[in-house]
Amino acid sequence: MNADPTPVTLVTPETVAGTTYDVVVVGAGVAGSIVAKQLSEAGKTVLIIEAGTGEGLTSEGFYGYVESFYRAVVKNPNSPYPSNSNAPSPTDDSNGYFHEQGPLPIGGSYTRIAGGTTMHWEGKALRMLPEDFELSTRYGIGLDWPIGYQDLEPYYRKAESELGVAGDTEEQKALGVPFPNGYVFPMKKIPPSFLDEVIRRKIDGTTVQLDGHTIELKLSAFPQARNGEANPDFVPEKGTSGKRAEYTVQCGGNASCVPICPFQAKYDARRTLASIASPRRVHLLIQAVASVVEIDPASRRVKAIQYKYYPDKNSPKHMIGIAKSRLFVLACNAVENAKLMLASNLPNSSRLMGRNLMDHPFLLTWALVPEAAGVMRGPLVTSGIGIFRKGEFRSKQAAFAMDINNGGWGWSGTGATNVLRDAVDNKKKYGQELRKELISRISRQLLLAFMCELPADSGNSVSIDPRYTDQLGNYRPVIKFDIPDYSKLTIAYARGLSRKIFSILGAEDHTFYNKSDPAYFEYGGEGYWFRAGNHFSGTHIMGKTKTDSVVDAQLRSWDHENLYLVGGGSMPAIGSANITLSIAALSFRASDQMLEDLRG
Amino acid sequence: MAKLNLTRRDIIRGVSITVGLTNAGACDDIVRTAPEVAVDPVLVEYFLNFSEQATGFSLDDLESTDQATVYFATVRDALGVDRLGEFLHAYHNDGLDAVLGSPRTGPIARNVIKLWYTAMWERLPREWQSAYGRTSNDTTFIVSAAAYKTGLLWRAIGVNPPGANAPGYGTWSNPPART
Repeated sequence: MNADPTPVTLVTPETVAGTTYDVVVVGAGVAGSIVAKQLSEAGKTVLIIEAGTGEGLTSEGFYGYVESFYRAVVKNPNSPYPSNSNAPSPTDDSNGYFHEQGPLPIGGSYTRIAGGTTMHWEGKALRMLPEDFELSTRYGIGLDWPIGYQDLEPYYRKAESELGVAGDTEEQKALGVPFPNGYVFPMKKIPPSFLDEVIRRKIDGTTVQLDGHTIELKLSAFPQARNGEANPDFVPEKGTSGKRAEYTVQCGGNASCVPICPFQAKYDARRTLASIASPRRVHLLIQAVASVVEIDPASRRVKAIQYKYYPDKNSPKHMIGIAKSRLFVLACNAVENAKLMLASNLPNSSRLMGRNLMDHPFLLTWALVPEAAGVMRGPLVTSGIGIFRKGEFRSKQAAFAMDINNGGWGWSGTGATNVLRDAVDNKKKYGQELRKELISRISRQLLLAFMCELPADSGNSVSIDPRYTDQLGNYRPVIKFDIPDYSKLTIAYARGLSRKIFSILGAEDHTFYNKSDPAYFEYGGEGYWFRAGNHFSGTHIMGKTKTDSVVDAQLRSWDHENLYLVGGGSMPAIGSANITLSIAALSFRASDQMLEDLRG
Repeated sequence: MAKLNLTRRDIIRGVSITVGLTNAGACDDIVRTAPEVAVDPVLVEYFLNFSEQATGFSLDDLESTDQATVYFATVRDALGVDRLGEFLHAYHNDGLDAVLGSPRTGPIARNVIKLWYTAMWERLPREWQSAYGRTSNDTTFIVSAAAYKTGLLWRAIGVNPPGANAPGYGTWSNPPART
């Protein structure tokens, strides 16, 4: 990216007050940025309201984030980004933003800042499988999408072009992902790590049993939105950022993808904002937290979005403003979208606003391999196992995908710094003994992470309660969450699979789930804890009728004809695919419909 | 990093002078301002000897981090001049094992090791603070962004510090560095 790459127009509340826009978008993350870009390039005027700050809109500001990361004592997913009590971001339960009612905590993190959670995401760019759209019809579980894979396929291509995906379509086809003939990703797959290859040599071809079927283990590269080597056969989709790989920096192996890519080789939504061709048509108001969706009671059309604008993130002093337009788009993620709608006292005729909250729970397992295999190098994940994403077993237990984590045990709580502390403080090591200990206990670390599907359940929800607010007086999300046996069965299966893999590798299994962990549960006589996938979804699902869903197949609200709710919240099922690519695809698709609406 | 033909004496003298300059506020890298105090090059020598022995890295390695000055000042500011002097004299007179084994100096010694390895000063344990006192600088912090990048932990295990000194596209496919 060049210096100061932000061709959107930063505005003040005064400007907003004096302007009527074609579209108001709430949230400058991947969904909001794609919508803003699509609509502005078709000649529409757009206002983006962003709750957080926008330091990262300049190169200097972005490098400020990198420096903050270096200086952070706890390197959590939001550690590069300024703490902001006016628009708090949940950070793995460390700041009490969510009020978790249980029985299990959803936990996790997202980032309320210009660029959104794509600032800190890992970068996997997976399509859902065709079966994932028909979970209920095929397997009698959860909910169906009102559209099928083929309806979304052209938009997946647009999303892959926009995000700059590096992957191997042949490998993905073998895993059940259909592509048009001859289609390739913008970039070739990211080279597998040395660690991946050590594992591959030992486990590829091993068979395991699942639901009476014999399955052969096979590693594959995960498609990811990370700059690699341009694919010469790639044809950019019209209206997307296209051949970014030619102009931007390749991944250099910073190994800090979560929470920040200092090379900006990992896609984040600022890239979409920076590529907007008509910057004067897109206004961006940062430090403005949308607080009420105002409707006309007779027509139920949205009239305006009320927001709280704070000049200084270190002070709760704020002013109320309103933003008017013909069309409104909520794009601030599944939790914040639902929270905003609930806070606005709207009809909610389906009674489903906030309900069907989903995430992908991760089971983590960790071991020491016999020999150092180059851990803590490269992107956090390059390869894994994708063959359990599909199968008849899904009528009984959840699909899942397995990551080989190149970053060692950090996610499970015993990263390099923890090992050092333990070695020095508890084991009293020093000098050469200390160095040997570190090599033995860090360089041999292997973490396998299993991402499990979770079907929609209306009992899992985001709601609001006047007892729980932030310092601006906005609601904090109240969460009810549980994991069904359908997913727990897979979590237990994954634990068994990890044991088998560790055994084949000759690795020392160090996995241990402490009972005192808030995410601890027991199943089948064994204890586990899970970690959040940060794939918040399902809180305003799409569907075929206004009684069984919140938005229609175009993501337009059934209740309010000029309101769209984009993002993971609209997804009625999430398969075993990280949701960002699907969010991007849906944003492109919804933008087409928005333009139709604006024409009429 | 180019190796100059510096003697131990040169290095120690260099650090002492720079810490002295630091007292005058010349060095922007210091997170906390240093009090006005004369710097005893003998203490600096003891500090570097201790650091070399305790970390398992040579004086040249320590010097190549460019953080010796800053770390000395950090430890001095966190402990106060008296406690620092006590610690370093105890090391010089009684040796590493004694200093690591004593409740008075052990936590300090371990903190200095961790400081070199992670660029982080960790607040001393509550029991130590109750017994021996605390200064306002004794909190947990990373000394600076620049220091973070030089942490010996990463060198010890043969990788770049996460988020910095990226080794290049595809290098993660190569066998690991020999450590």
